Amino acid sequence: MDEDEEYTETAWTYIALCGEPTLYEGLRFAKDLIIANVTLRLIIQLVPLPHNVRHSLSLVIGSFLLYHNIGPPFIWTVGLTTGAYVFMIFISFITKKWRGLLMSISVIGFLLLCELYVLNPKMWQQIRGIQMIAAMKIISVAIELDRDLFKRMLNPVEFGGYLLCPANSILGPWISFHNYNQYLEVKFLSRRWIKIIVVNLFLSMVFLVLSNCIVPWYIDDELPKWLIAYRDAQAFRMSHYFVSSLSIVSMISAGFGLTNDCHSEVHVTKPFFIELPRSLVQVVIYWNMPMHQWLKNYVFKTCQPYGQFTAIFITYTVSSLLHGLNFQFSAVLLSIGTFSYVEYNLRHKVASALEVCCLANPCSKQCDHKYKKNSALALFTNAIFSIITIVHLAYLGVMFEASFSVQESGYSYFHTISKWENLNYFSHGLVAFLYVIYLLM
Amino acid sequence: MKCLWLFVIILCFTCDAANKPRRGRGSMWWGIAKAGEPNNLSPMSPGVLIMDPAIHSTLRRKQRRLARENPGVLSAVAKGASMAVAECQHQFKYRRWNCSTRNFLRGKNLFGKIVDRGCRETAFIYAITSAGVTHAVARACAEGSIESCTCDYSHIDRVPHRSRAAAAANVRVWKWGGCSDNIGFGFRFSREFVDTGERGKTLREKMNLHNNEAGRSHVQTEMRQECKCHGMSGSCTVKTCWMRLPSFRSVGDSLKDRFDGASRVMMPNTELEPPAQRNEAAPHRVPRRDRYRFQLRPHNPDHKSPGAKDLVYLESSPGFCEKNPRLGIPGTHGRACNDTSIGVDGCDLMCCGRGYRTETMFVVERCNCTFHWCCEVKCKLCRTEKIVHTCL
Repeated sequence: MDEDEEYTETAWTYIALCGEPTLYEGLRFAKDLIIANVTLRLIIQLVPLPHNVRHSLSLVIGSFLLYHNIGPPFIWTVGLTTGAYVFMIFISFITKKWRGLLMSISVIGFLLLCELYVLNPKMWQQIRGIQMIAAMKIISVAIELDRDLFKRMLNPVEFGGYLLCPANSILGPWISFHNYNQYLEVKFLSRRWIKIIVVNLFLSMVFLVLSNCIVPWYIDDELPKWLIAYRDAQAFRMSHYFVSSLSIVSMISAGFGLTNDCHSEVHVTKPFFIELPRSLVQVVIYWNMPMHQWLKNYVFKTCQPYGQFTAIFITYTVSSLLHGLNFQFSAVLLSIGTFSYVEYNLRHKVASALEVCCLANPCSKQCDHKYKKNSALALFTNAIFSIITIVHLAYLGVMFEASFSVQESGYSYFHTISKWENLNYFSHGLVAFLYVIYLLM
Repeated sequence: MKCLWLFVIILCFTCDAANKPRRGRGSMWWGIAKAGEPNNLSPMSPGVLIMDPAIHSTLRRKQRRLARENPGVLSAVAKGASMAVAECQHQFKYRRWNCSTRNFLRGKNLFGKIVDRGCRETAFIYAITSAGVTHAVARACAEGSIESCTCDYSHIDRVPHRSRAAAAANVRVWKWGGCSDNIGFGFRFSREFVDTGERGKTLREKMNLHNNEAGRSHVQTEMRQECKCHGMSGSCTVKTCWMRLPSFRSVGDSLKDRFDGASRVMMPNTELEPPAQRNEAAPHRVPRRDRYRFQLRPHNPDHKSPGAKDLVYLESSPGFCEKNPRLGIPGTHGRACNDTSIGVDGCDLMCCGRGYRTETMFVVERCNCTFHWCCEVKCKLCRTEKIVHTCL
């Protein structure tokens, strides 16, 4: 009896001791984001400014915020922006058709060079996310130029404002230039605006505390390794939800992503669809929707003429190269790719064989299978596939649990392999097994 | 109710007995550990409040003032003291001296006359109680149950405990967020409260000061900073850090290690500096911190001088085998021992060669425990046969 009391008590103390400073630091970070973005919005709202001045305002405030948050390394983001612009002007004289490809290669090459030769790992880990967003923006602009979606070449202020915009340069999400341009207009702001900010801020803090304090605590270290893997993966997912909802806060507080009647239209992630997944395909879609959109729009569609398989392969390559030349990310992304490919095809076969509504994506309107989605058989098969997905998620997400020094300076090859070895490469084996079933069916 | 009055009377006696020459003068507050025990409390009154007059009488004037100035701190001190007693008894469960305390104080010290001597065991008692107070106060501070423990955000410029706690300085490099500077409060409070009366003039007082300080720095250095990265796809754009107070068990474990390697000391021939002038009436004018600035010399000149986290003692421990009323030693008669062990918990050593009795008993204990989500452990009760050895 005594021991149990002691147990809960220390648990509460632990959470209190962890939660308070965590919240304090999370809010301190959010405060800077909100202040910078609200300033931008209020100036746009209250002072009638010409087009270019608005963009330069975004550029200036964004640079300040970036410098405030990451310090001197911000020069790399500014350098990337300037370099990319100059290079883009330069190649525009040579070609009008291959700018997208050339820009993609050079930007990704630049990032890889930075990672491998220039920056120390700690600094790289710190600015990697920021550089990734910037690279996505640059590539999207280049491809849209190829597709003739711009009336004329962007001027430097527009380009800089787009890349360094305080609303999404730090935590994302990626938005297209046209959206950015449109969001910089005067908006209708009502009390809802503040409400959306507060709600998302609250949500992000909940996810932060869950990620730092509660999830790592509620499953004990002595339990089976799969539960621990699940826990560690979940802590990582919570961290992702925190970043995503905080990115919504920064977008909304800059007045970005608001519809005309002041509703939020930015969606970054859907925790519900990831925690209780239908399929790995859905997880990939809902993990980071703007990123998914970007990959689909600019990489997959561009490569589609060269064949389905090539397009998929290039999409995965680009997405893992954007994360840097890191074995862990490549391995995780490639695994996700194969796992979801096998899952997609297997479910397709199962659905037609048993005539059950159990495709990787839910049938959009009316499913033409015999057993509809609420039938017992459909529920059962979907539940089994969900459980397999949850196992995959634990297996893939466990990578990102590491000591702070590893988190801070990047994951090594041995880290990845040891984590998977600990779980006996279970998911890879399971997928191979499922693939054999698929072939036999 | 009777018990309560008895306790009050006893506690009143204890303050008169506090002025024995050799004893650590600031040690009477340990009695507070027993304040929360149910047999000393009237059933109607929840909490420790009713004990206030009794507790106050064991405390020195300065300690009373501290308790008055920091509402809520007294129950934290009581908790820390009883935590220290429990930890001490856990650590010494299998040794001849098992950190026994007295049920009723009988005008004596809580741990008995062993405190009058300057041996290893005394050193441990001082260190663990001081650590207990630091730990409990820091924790109460974090939980917000001490009103005067404010969130002090200016701690970076202010260095509250330099000198001997400098070993612990590495934890202060990081900018502490929120109200997590609780350990600083716990440390300072423990210095004020626990070290009252240890003027640092005699060698024995220096020993007590050193051991108290050692206990505190164990709590402080074992505080761990934990951090986590957040950012787009596993990058490290946002870092969040927090401090984690060590479990008191790990503090006890490391103090026990220091107990095993404690160093015997003597007074240096030449004082490093004359003892600080101490004026009870104006304690603020004289920097009290000076009393911590001394260096003890090892008894064996070949040994290293004791570090800030080492325990020090002055004389070798008495034998704990036989009952010795003069030293307040109960002896090991009737203690349980392990017949297969060759360590101190083994029957040979524990019973000091007197031999032991072996009995077979049936014990009811918890078994087949299962964890229920979330946070409950359910067990069955099993009857098992156990062979118990007790010293003659």
